[in-house]
Amino acid sequence: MTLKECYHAMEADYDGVICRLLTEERVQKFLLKAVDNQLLEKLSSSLEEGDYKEAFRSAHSLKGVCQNLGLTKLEVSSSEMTETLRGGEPSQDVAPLLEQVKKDYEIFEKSVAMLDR
Amino acid sequence: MGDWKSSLRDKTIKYRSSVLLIFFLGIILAVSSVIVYYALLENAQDMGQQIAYDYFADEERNLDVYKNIIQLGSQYIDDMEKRGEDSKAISEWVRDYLDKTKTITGANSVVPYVVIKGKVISEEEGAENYQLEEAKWYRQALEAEGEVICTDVYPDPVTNKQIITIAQKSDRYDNVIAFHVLPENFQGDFDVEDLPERSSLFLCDSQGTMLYGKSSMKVPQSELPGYVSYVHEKIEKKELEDFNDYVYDLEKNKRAVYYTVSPDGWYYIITIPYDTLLKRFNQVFYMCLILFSIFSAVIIIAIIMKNRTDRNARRTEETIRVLENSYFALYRIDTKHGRYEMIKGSEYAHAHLEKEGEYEKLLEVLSRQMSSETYEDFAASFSTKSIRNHLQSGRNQFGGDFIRTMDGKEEWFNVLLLSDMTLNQNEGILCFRVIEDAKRRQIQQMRLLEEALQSAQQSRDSQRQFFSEMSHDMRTPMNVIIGTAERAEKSLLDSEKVSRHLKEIQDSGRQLLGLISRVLNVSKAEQRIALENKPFDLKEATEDIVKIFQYEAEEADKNFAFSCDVKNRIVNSDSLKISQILNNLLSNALKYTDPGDSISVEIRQKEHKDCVRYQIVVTDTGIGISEKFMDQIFLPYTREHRFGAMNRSGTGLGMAIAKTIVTHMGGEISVASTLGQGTTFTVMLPLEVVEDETVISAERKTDEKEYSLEKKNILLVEDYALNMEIATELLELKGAQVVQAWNGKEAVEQFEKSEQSFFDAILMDMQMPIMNGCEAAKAIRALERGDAKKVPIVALTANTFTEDMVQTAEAGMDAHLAKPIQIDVVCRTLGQLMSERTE
Repeated sequence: MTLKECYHAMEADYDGVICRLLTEERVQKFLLKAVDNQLLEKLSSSLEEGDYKEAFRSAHSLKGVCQNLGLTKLEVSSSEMTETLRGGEPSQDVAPLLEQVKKDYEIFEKSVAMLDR
Repeated sequence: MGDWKSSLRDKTIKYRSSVLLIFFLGIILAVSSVIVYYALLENAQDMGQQIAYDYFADEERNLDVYKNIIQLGSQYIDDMEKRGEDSKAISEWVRDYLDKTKTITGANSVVPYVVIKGKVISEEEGAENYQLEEAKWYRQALEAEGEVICTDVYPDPVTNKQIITIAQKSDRYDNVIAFHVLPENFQGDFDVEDLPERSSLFLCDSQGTMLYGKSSMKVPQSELPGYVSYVHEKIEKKELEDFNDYVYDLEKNKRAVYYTVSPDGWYYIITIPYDTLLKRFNQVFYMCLILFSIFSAVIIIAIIMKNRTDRNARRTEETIRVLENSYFALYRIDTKHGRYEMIKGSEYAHAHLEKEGEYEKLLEVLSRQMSSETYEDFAASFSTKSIRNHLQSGRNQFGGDFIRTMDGKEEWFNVLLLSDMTLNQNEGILCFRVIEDAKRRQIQQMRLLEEALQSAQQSRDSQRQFFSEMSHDMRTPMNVIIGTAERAEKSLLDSEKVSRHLKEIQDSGRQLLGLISRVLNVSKAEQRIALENKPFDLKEATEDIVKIFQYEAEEADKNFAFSCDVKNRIVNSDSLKISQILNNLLSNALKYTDPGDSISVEIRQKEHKDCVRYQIVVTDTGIGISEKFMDQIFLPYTREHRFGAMNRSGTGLGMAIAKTIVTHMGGEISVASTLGQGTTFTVMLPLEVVEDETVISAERKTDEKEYSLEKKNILLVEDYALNMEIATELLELKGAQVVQAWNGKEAVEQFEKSEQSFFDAILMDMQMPIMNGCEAAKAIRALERGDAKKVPIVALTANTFTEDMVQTAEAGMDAHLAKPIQIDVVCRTLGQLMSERTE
C-alpha cells in the first residue's frame, strides 16, 4: 500500500499532511514512529485507575500526534476524550469514548501495518 | 544528384576491369551469335535450294511422261504425212492415239486434243467448236517451232475448269497435239517426310497461280493460293534472293523461301520456318546467354561485396579516427592476461609506457597523476576483475570523471570503458578525454549559482541589519526634532534660544534626509538580487519546458505523459528557476531511460487550510539509482572524482543545482528509486497563489515571505516526543537551531541559563505536565534580565476555543498559533515578531 492509499484507507488527510511535512518520506517516518506510542495503553490504564489527570495528558498528546499527522478520525475521537477529561473529572461516561478511540486506533495501526516499507 | 553521379563514376573507374570483362564477353557473345546465325542461314539456303531443285526435277519427270506421249504422237503424224497417207487414215490413227493416251494417263486426268490441218479432233464434247485462234496454247505451240510448251493456268473455254495445257507442233506441218491437264495432277509424290520440319511446298505458274500447295500451317487450304501469290510477287521483285531474306507466313512466323524456276516459267517453292532452321542455334544461344548472365551476376555480386567490405573497413577506420579525435588516450585492455595495448596515448604516456605491457604498469603510471584518494577509487573501479564484470554484465558503458594533476595544474577528465559483445569478451577499451565544455560550463554555472545565492542571503541578512540599525538611527533625529521643537515652543520669547533650536532642527532634518536617501538606494539595489517574484501562469510555464522534452522523448522512442492538475494557475514566484528545476529533472530522466521506457511529469496542487503547496513529480521507468549513489545524488562535486556504472555523458550537477534552487525557494526535493525499475523525483514548492493577479497583493505577500529562520535559536517547548520531533525537524528545515525543553519548568531553566539574547524566539506548547505554557511564559517574563521582556513567545494551542486567547496574552505571550504546526505560518509569525523586537 502506498502512503496515499494508506491515508485513504484510514480516512485521513493526506493532502494536509503532505502540505505541512512536505515529503512522503518524512510523513512515513513519523507515521511509523507514531504507531509505537504507548499513549492508548496509558490512557486506558489511567482511566481504569481513576487517574484522570494522567488520562487527560495521554489523550491530549495523542490528539497532538493525530493533528500533526493528519489522522482525522483518531483526532476527532481523542479530542473528544481530551475535552471530556479537561476539567479533571470526566464530564460524561468515558467508556463509549474510549471504545471509539480504540476502534479508530486499531484502524490506524492496521493501515500503517499494510504500508509499503 | 551530382554526388550520386560522381560516386557512380568513381565506382565505375574502380571496377573498370570487371566491367570491361563483362562488356567484352557480351560483345563476343553477340558477334559470335550473329556469325553463327548467318552461317546457319547461308547453309540453309544451299540446302533449301537443293530441295527446291529436287522438287522441280521430280515434278518435271511427271511432265516428261506427257511430253513423251505428245512427242511420240507428233512424230507419228509427221511420218504419216510424209508417207502421204490420206486424211482418213490419219484421222483413224488419231482416234486410236486418243484412246490409248486415255488408257495410259488415266481416264479423267488428261484431255488430249489433236489439231490436224486446222481441224480439232478430240473426244471431248464440243471439241469441234473449239476456237483455235483464241487458244493461247495453240499460238504458243506454233511459235515454239517443235518444242514442247506448257501454258500457265487458265480457264478451259469448254469446261470452264482451271487447266494448263502441254502442247507441241509437228515438225513439218502445223499439226499440234495438246493435253489439257487439271492442276490436281500435279499432286506430286515428292516425299515431304524427308523435308525439314514444318516445311511447305508450293508449285505455281509464272503468274503466281498456285498449282499445288502443301503446308504445315494450320490454315484452311483455300488461303494458300493467296499466300503463294504473295510469295511469288516477292520472288518476282527479287526480294528473296539473299540467304537472310524471309517472309512472314500465315501464322506470322518467319520463313526462309527457296525456289527453282522451270523452263516453262513455273516456280517450285519451298519455305522453311526460321524456328526449324535455327532450332539448334536458339538452344545454343540461350545456353550461352544463361551462362553469360550467371557470369555477370557473379562478378556484380563480387563487386558489391567488395564494395561493402571496403565501406565497412572505411567506416571502422573513420570511427576510430573520430574516437581518436575525441579521446586523447585509448587503451585496449585484455583482462584475461592483465595486459594493455596503447592505441593512442598522451605525451606523458608515450614517455613512460611501452606500446604494450602489463596493465599494472599502466595503472601505476596513471596513479602518478591522481590524488591518492582518486587513485584508490579508480583502481578499484577499473581493476581487471571489475572491468571483466562490467564487460560481462552487458552494460557497455562505464566510467566517470576525475581531476588529474599535471604540472600542478588541475584538469577535469572523463574516463569511459567501452566494449562490444562481438569483440573478445575479455577485452574492453579505456578512453580518456578532457572533460567537455558543457560539463565545465555546468560546474561554472553551479559555482555562480551558489555564489549568487550566498550573496543574496548575505545581502538579505545585511539588509535586515541595516533596517534595524536604520530605524534606530532614524528615530533618534526624529526624537531630536520633536523634542527641540517642543523646547523652542516653550521659549518663544527668547529669540536666541529659538534660533539655536531651529538650527538643531535643521541639522537633525538634514541627517534624517540623508538616512532616507540611503534607505531608498539600498532597496533599489536589493531588487537586483536573488529570486524574482512575479506572477505567472504555472501551467503555461511548465508546459513550455515540458514540450521540449516531450518531443525529445518521442524522438527517442520513449513514452511521455504530462499532467497539470492545479486549481490556482497563477502563482507568485520565479518562473525561470522553476523551469530550470524541471529542465534538470527531465534531462536527468531522459538520460537514464532507454527506448520503450516511460517518463511522466505531474504537477499537483496540495492545499490545507492556509497552506498551499505545489508538487512536481517526475517519474521514469529507467535504470534507477543505486542505493550507494542515492546519498550523493544531490551533492555537487564535493569529492574530486566519481566513478559509476552507466555514467551516461557524466552525472550532472543538475540535481545539485535543482536542490539548491528548491531549497532556496523554501521547498523540498526528494528521490525514490529502485535499481532497474525507475526513479521518482518529488519537488514540493510553497508557491504563493495569486488570487486576483494584482501586483499589490503580490507585493504584500512578498513582504511576508521575506522572513527566514536561518541561524535563529529557537527554544521549543513540547512534552510529547513525537510532536517535539516533528516540530524540530520542520524548524530545522527553515534553518533554525532548536533547543528542546520538555515542559514549562525546563523551558524557564533553559532560558535562565542561556546567554543574554541567545534565544531569538520561544515556541511554547500550552498543555504540559509540571508547568504549563502560560505559567512558563509568566516566569520567563518575570526574569531579571534584558531579553526576558523582549524575546517573542508564541503559544502553540491545540484548540483555540477552549484554551483561552486572553490567558496567553495575560501570560505575556506575543501570539498564539493553532496546532498542528504549519511551518510557513510559524516562520512568518516568528519572523515578524523577531524583526519588530530587534528594532
